[in-house]
Amino acid sequence: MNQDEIRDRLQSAAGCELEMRTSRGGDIVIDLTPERLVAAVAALATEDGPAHLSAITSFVEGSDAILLYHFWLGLGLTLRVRCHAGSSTVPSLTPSLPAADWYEREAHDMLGICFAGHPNLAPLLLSPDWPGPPPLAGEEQAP
Amino acid sequence: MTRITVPIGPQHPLIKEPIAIRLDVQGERVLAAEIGIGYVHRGLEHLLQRRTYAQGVAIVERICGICSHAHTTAYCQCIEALALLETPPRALAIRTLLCELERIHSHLLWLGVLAEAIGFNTIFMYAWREREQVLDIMEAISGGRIAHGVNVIGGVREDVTAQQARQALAMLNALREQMRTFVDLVERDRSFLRRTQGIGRLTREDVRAYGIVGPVARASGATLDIRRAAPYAAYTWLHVPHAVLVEGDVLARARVRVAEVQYSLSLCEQLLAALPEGALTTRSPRRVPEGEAITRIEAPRGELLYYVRSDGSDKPARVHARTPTLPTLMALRTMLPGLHTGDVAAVVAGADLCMACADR
Amino acid sequence: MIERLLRWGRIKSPWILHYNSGGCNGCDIELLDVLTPRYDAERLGILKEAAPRHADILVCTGPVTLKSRDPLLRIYEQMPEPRWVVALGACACTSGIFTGSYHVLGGVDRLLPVSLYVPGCPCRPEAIIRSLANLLEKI
Repeated sequence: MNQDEIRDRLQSAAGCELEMRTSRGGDIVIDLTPERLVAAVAALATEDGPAHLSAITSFVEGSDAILLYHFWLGLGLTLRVRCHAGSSTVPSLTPSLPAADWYEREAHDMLGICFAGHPNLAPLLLSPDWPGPPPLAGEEQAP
Repeated sequence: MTRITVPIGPQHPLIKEPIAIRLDVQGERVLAAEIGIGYVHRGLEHLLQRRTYAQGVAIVERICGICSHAHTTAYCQCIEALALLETPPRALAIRTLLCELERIHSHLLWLGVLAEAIGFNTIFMYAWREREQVLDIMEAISGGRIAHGVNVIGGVREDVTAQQARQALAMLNALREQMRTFVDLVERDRSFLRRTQGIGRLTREDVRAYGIVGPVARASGATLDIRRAAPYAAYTWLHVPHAVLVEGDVLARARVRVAEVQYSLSLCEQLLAALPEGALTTRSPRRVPEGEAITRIEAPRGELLYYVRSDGSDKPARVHARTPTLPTLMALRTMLPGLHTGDVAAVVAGADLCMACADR
Repeated sequence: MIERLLRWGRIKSPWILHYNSGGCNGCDIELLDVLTPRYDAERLGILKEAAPRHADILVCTGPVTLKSRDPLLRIYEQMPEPRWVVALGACACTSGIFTGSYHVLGGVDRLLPVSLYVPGCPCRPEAIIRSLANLLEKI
């Protein structure tokens, strides 16, 4: 897939114009709102199958959480989703893309983001008796 | 027949790392499997935010002892992209040389572990004995067998002298001869074939669904190899041959890895014969300019992705590593059901899992 | 007399159980290396055991993570006496480079009585053999 085809597919799934920029390292980055995510990822599928999801990165920016969905489609594509703190619920990709399963669980562990529709958001990495808060949510940690 | 739950781990003889596998078994058939990880979670991404970029190289090296050089390569490459540094060609070639040597040692290590898991102790001993030569080469170059400390941001810390190159070529030649034993093993050895053929199948659809990468994916017909798809370091001028099979069973994974060792031997020889002249490092700033970068490399187990975000200070604002073992671990829930309990060892050991990489 | 015989038996065939309580694998693969032909610890009678109930020496690598705390204690409790604990590598000794992490409790001695500390990151196979031989002299 090339850049133009990616943009066309995502724009028709999102129903609006989308801005593309390139990050250092070469990935194309596109911003999406949470409710457009599942349809956008579905639009990237080919006859070979769903898009190859490499990773989901999450971090805190101010009082918001940012989720980056990294795909490899012959070139690197990152979908950037902002969720506002307080209503940190993002639709889960797992029901349509099993690859997202543990990456979403990890984001839940590390930042406390909830993924609506995820079959099992149990702690993946943290000990079951971890008292909280989520380690990368920007608050002070219990040792 | 009643269903029973067989808990394996976290302490178990299958692989050398803690993992919890709960098998639902009826008679001798596995019906379902649940995987639990996190025993080796050391909170490294949080720790990296509290150390400088340079200190981070030593930390990232210790995410995993087997693919330590892959981690430092990806991390340094990511920061070099962020800081817009031009890494010198000689440094890139030496980095690539160690990447390929690490691939050889990792695959031989895996072959020994798989052999031990299915009771073929002789191959475990042979594989690890031949692997020692690769560790000797890495120790001659870097001073360390496992943790090399060769990568620094901006290049490499150690040079390869002409004498080291000659010794390395001689050892690699000897290893090429010794590889015949392992080629015979995966092509013809009847007991090995009976324990691995048709076991633990993953289809191409499974690979796409779980985002599986590396030799496990290439044994199921997928072709993604970052060295070919998005060449980095010296792979921009090296030709990396393909090792792809379609059967998707443990035997196919073994054959792909044995082939990759042979290709890596050639890549090392090409690199040693043609190391570019020049500097080993370029100056790297203590404070990295604001921004974010994503980098992908082909670690021994597959696509390793690093994300680094900088806020302009001397410490990263966020470092995230997605290691190639994670999708394979997720896919265990598909690979294990339907197996005879006696085959669980072959599939788990044959998946080349690395819990240290997965848990970070 | 019986005591001397038992002691001779323990020194001549120390069976080790290896558990990674949070390490990077570096020390684990050097420990396994010790059992392979170049270093060959089996000439000292050392065998790697799979079950804690058959082991004499628990060789621990890596710092103790919060999640590994309970499994490690359970393994130690399952080992029959006399038993010894070896902390292999800088992380098992003092939590090494992971000191300060939110998920790391500390070195192995935060939880278990350690008889032998083997430093190194990772520790070399020669150091492992030398240290195990030292431990056998003390038994």
